[in-house]
Amino acid sequence: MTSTSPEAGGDEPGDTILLIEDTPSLQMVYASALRRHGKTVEVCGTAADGLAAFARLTPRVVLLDLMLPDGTGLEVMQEMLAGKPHTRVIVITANGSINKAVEMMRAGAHEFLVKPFDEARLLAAIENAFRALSHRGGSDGRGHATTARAMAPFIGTSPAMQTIYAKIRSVSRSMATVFITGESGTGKELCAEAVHQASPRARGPFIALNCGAIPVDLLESEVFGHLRGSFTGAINDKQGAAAAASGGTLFLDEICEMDLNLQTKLLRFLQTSTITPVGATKPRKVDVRIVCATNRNPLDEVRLGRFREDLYYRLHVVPIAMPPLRERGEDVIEIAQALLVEMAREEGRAFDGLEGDVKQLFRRLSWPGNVRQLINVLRNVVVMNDGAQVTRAMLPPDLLAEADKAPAPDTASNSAPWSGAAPEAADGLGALAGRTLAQIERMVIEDTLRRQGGSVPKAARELDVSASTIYRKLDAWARSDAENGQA
Amino acid sequence: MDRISVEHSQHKGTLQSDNSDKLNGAKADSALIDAQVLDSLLSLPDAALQASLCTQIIADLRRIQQALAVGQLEDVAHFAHELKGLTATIGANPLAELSVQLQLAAEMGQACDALVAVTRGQIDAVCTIIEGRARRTGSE
Repeated sequence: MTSTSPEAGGDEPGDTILLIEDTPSLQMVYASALRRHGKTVEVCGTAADGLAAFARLTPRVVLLDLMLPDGTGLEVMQEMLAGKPHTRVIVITANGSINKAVEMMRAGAHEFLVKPFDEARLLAAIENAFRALSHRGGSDGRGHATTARAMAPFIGTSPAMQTIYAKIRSVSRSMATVFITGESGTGKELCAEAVHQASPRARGPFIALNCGAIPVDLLESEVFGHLRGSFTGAINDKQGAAAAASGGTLFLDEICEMDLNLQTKLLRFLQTSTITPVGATKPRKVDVRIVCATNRNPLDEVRLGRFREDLYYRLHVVPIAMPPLRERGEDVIEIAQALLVEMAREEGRAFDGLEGDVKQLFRRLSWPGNVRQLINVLRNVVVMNDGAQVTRAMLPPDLLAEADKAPAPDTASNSAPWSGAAPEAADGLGALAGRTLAQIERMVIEDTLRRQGGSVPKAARELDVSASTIYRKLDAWARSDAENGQA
Repeated sequence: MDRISVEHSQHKGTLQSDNSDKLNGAKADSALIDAQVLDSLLSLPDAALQASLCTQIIADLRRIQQALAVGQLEDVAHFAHELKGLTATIGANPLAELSVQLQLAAEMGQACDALVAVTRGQIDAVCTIIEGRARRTGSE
């Protein structure tokens, strides 16, 4: 069992922790652990009592069981957050209700604890919640300006991007892990930075690490750090990215490229909020929010055994799918105009707009390289030409050739790997070719579970098998994934 | 010589039987409950608090046991869910697994009288272990 520091809260008025849990012995277990560490705890056993105590005490941190005799944790939390949106709600859930916990995170919960959890985990969660509140600095009015600043690097007003802005705004107040997906060049890192800038952690560091760009042998040291002499070439102590991001956000780009062994360590880090640098014997606590990104389909990576399923569910709490440029309507013109003016200034050119013909062409292109490709095209035009407006003749020949073969925009978006349609549905049975029957079975079961909101009984009914069959298979896959992860 | 040998072996046999009873008992206990988890949970600074926690765990288990016997399917699912969280926390892993099955069966509307009976029986066994643990705590 670990101890906790006084900074973990409980020493200011209003720092009473409200515990809403219906099993009396579990109330005793959690409350006594918190009290032993100097916290003041108010305990309630029902949703009604919990809401009454919430109104009376206005606690800043609430520990809330998911299932209560007179209501669900979700209903209770929604009522609390409607009145006091900055309350940090830590959800307690029994194993097997992870999907519900994820739903709670999406609805604004700060963190979730899966029973059984130990004292150290409970205290770490409480500590994180109070720390997140202290990062807010008690200022309830900073939200609007901060969020506006955070969104500033984005250009575009399409409905697809409005959805992205709304998501960034709603996740910014939470500690929830954000999982950004999208094709290359769609602005995943920009999105990660916006999540950080809009959050109460904006004054802390934003550390980005590209998991695909660092050799496997060095990645552990890059993430968790190392001690001098821990391996050949370790001539000094090195602080890893996780420690460097303490108090801020750690952005793990190309997360699916991470080695399976390191995935196991990352999972432990997410569960305990502690890191053990290479060569160290004692773990060290860090306070980091994780945002990760990939241009792959993470579930496919899980199916193929390249990404741990348990890590996937830990990370995939709030997914944000960045839309490809071809699905952003007039954004392509808006972005091109803004970039053109900026580049013209940098290069000493007179450009201030695009000719109508070029606009038509830009709208029609599928932009497989997304905004990055658009930037390259415009840089090429501005460096090689001059004039008031960009004409078709100024565009690179390969782009014009691509434009000649470009299908109608609708067709292009349908063939996009991130168009939202399941690849198996789009490709028919062709997508199953080359897979083993066991792999196909797993795909079908996981897809059914996803469609049924994670409910095993409902998935079992749809597939006409017993629920225990599905549980057995999930268990076997989890074990096999874990073994592969440690291999 | 033969007689001595027989007596010796009988005596040895009795000792073995005593030991194996204890050993079997401990094995049976450890099969039902993870002693490390329970010890860690009960490692409270105050003996009165320890005793009170043991009493409360037993009271909760008995309450759920009683509720399972009389409950409708919906109630069975709810209490099986509560049992799952409690037993996983105290390290009674087989009972936690059983309660997962029971919750599932009840949620699917399946008849679960047999499962309820097994679960109630195992609650008895777990309560007995915790009662023993509480007695040991009191006598230490």
